[in-house]
Amino acid sequence: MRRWLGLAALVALALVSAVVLGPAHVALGDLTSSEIVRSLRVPRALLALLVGGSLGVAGASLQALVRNPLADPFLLGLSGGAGLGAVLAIALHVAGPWALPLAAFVGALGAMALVYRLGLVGGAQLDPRVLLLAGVAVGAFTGAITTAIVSLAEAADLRNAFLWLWGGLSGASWDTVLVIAVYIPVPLVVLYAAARPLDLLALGEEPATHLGADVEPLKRRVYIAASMLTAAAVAVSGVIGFVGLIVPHITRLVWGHHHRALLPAAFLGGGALLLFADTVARVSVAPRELPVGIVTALVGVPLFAVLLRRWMGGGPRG
Amino acid sequence: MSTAAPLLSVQRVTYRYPGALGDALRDVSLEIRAGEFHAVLGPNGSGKTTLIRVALGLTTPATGEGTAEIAGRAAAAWSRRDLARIVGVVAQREDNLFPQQVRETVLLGRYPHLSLWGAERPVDREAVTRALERCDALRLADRWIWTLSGGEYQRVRLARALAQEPSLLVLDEPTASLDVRHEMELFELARGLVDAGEPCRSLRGSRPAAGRRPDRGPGHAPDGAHPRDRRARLRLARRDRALRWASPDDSPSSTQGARMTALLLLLALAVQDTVVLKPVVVTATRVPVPADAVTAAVTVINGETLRARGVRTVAEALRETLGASVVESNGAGSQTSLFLRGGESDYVKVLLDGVPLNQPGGAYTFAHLTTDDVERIEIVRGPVSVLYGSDAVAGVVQIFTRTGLGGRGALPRVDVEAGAGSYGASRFGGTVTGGTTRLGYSLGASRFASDGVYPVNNNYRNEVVTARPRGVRGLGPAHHITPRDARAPRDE
Amino acid sequence: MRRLFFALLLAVACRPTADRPSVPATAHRIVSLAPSSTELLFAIGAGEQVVGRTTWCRYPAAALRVPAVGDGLNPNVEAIAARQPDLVVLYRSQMNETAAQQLARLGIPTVTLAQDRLEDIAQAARELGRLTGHQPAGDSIGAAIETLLRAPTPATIARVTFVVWDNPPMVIGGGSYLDQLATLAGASNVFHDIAGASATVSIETIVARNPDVILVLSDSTAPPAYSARREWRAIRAVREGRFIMLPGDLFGRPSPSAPAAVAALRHALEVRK
Repeated sequence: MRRWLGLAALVALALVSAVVLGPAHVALGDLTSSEIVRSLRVPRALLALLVGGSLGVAGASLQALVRNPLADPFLLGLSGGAGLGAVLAIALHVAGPWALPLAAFVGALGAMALVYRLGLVGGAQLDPRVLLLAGVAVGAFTGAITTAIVSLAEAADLRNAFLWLWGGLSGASWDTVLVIAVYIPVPLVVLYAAARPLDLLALGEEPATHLGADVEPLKRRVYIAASMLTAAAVAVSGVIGFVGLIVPHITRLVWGHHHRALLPAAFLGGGALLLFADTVARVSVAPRELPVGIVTALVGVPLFAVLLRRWMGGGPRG
Repeated sequence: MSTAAPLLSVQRVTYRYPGALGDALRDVSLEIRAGEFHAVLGPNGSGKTTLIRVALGLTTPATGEGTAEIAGRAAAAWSRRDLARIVGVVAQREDNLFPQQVRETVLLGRYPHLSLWGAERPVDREAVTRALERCDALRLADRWIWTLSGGEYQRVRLARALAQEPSLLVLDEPTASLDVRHEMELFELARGLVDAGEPCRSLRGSRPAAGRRPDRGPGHAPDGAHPRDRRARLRLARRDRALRWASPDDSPSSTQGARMTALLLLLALAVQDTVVLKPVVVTATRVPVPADAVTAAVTVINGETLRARGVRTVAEALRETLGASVVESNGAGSQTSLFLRGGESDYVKVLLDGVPLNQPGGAYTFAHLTTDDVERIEIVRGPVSVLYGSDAVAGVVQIFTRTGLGGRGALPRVDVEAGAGSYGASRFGGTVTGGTTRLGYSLGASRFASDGVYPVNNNYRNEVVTARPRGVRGLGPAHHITPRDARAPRDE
Repeated sequence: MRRLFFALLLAVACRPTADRPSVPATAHRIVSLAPSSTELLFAIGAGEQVVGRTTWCRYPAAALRVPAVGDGLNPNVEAIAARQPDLVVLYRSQMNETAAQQLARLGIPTVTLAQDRLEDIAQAARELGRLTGHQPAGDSIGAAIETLLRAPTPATIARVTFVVWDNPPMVIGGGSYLDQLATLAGASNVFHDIAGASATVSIETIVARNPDVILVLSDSTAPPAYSARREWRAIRAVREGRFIMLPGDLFGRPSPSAPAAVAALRHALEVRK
């Protein structure tokens, strides 16, 4: 119980600091009335929470699905697809403020479908190892096409598309938060419902079947739900790496492999991490801003190392 | 427990893995009822795990190639969860990548009994403790599984299967990588489980659920049953009217509790499929006796070996026998006599399938006796007159013709040979052997011709036709006819 | 065997680097690998002597007639050599150092010019004037720019920011020629304190600094796409539609038409007021 309280306190602290701190100085008394806080900081904090949480849950689920602790949501080629979608949108001069995120989302889903199709190559059964390989291949392929388009095209804008892909929460607004908040509950619920079977999947597919898990539909559901979460995250905030990889491990050190507890913890932990990282990104080199993906790595790794040392004594290995 | 349907029933199943060259299972049937302890033995790759997969509906054979049922219902029609409540399987292989404690691992076995959203209940934790106790693994409960030895881990896996509280427990090669002592312990444990018929009910005296008035009295559920269990039981009862499985709600007085009563063991045991039979000798005592039990000096020559070596005549074969001296007076086709242990050639009795070939007086020429269709040759050296009469003073040579008694559906075997040699020698021959378990036949024909060493009057031709139909009825008498026609025409 | 190998290695390492071929007194076949230098060459009247440009060199219109030898960022040495130049003008950067060496090995003289700020352009104008035999023209352009730079800074009539990209938001800092143009036009760049030429910032920083006008490098008159997005509308200037579009021919790179650019910007700011 204490662990959950600690995590909740962490999230609350992260939210508060994201709202209070920032490159523009806003006095504490003016917080509620400030336009900056209302229109920019609060939606950005909420978006960080939702995106970080989605990446954390997607990462934990995918690691259980492919039975590989090094799996990361972006390993499945989604970032490549998103980048290609974005670049195509810019190259074709698609108009509209939502053009870029929508194109990235569609691109990510396309990559997901392609990887899924490749994952079925060995027959009707989804093979997790083939999924990983297919993801890497599709990611490389789309990345190559994207780079080719950018280097051959004439528009200077296209080079800036890469900047977008590096990830950032600067596109956060109440509209974005609303869209994401409406979108993510369904995949999250699907993944939570699959939490117990995911525990079983850790034993292997056949033992899991014998213990009552319906493995094939489970794999499909988890893959699609996790990919949908990741696609949405990429569409609104680019590729923020490391969160989906490291947050499940950190939460596993505390909550073990019990996915019914792990998934919610990964959501909160991912949200907290991204919140802290974004705050640091905004504040540390003001008025400039660091790419948030760098900060998640710089913040996440020492945190992971500290936790690892503390728990290595009597706890689980690795 | 309904005795109408067996727990597990596999009928005449044939299954081939997609893309495989041959069937993994062919026409296999298996039935397991409550209270039975079955073992399936077979060498690696013989299809034991495939049998389990088919029996549990994990793979489905093509239509018409057999059925698999669990408790009266088609295996593929069961949902995985419901099946896991009845059948517990300890699979051959498992890699648990993520570190866990023993208790957590065994708790995974309770999954089929948990609802989608509900948490683990006290009854689940009790089931885990009970399972660990039964497997003598309770003291391991708080250890991490990566610190366990092979035998301990195997016991933990068994405990997990028991935590499922199944009616049928299937152990697939549970003793692989265990030493003999652990192997024996596991078998004894398994046997003990079946004998004890462990019921799967909650212990009496569980905590009452808040807000519910306890029902007391005979035939009512004990207190503290989890409200969801009732729903689970009703759901099952509606679906499966023929069978009623106990839920933790059932009162102790109910006799229809689901018990772990049947056990299926799959063991890898290499059964040798090629056995070398000891030779059986008939001639020495007129009754089939194993060669090493015969006191007379007997040599048995296998006809197959002779033909493989290209030995054409019995005389050549006899040349190599201990104590035998074969004299050929004048090349192929001339008088050929056998002297056993120095005795006179007239005193060697030659039998073909029990029929004496000697002419009155005992003379016999081996010139035209070929090895066509000969199954074996038995030579008894020394006097066997007691059995065969006065013309068997030097010894007995018996030639047995091949007979084709085979199994059901055995194809006839055809051998054809052709050869040529110096001095214009040529040989053609063929045999057909076949038959059923009751009637066998063997037909052979051959022709040998040679111009001989000398240019004049030295050619030789030998044409042989043999047959041997043989009928047998069970252990009754065998009837056979052995026509053998050997001609050696001489042309000038 | 090993000794032979090391001897060879030593020999190769100690080979004297080829001397750079000397720059001709008057270059007649010039390949220009930067838009600024191309524009300068045409401005000083050496347009006929330009035989190669990059695909980005589009001003003046006459430059479009000159064949392109690639995009110039990673100079295509072969394409350049195919034009048989007697001088290659490079933009000063680390990558172009390598290109200069490669061209030197082919016997093609190169000159590297800094082209980031207006004073660099003045310098470059004089240098190119000297190299192409149009010294008077080069000197006069250089002098014009230097005069512009020496002129007293006018009073600030507006606070501005240049937004070059929206996701992530990128603005121009104090190190860029655009900042210089703004200052000369009487506009104060709210991000002048950033040392580099450009930087990524948060939207809230822009909101806090509250520029009066947002300057956008764009040839069209439509407001930029991000102005419709909700988070950008927290900036007052975006809400009120206070954009000034800066056409590429005057503002796209530091150019000899800097005085004209400054005047145009000042005019636009005054109108806006």
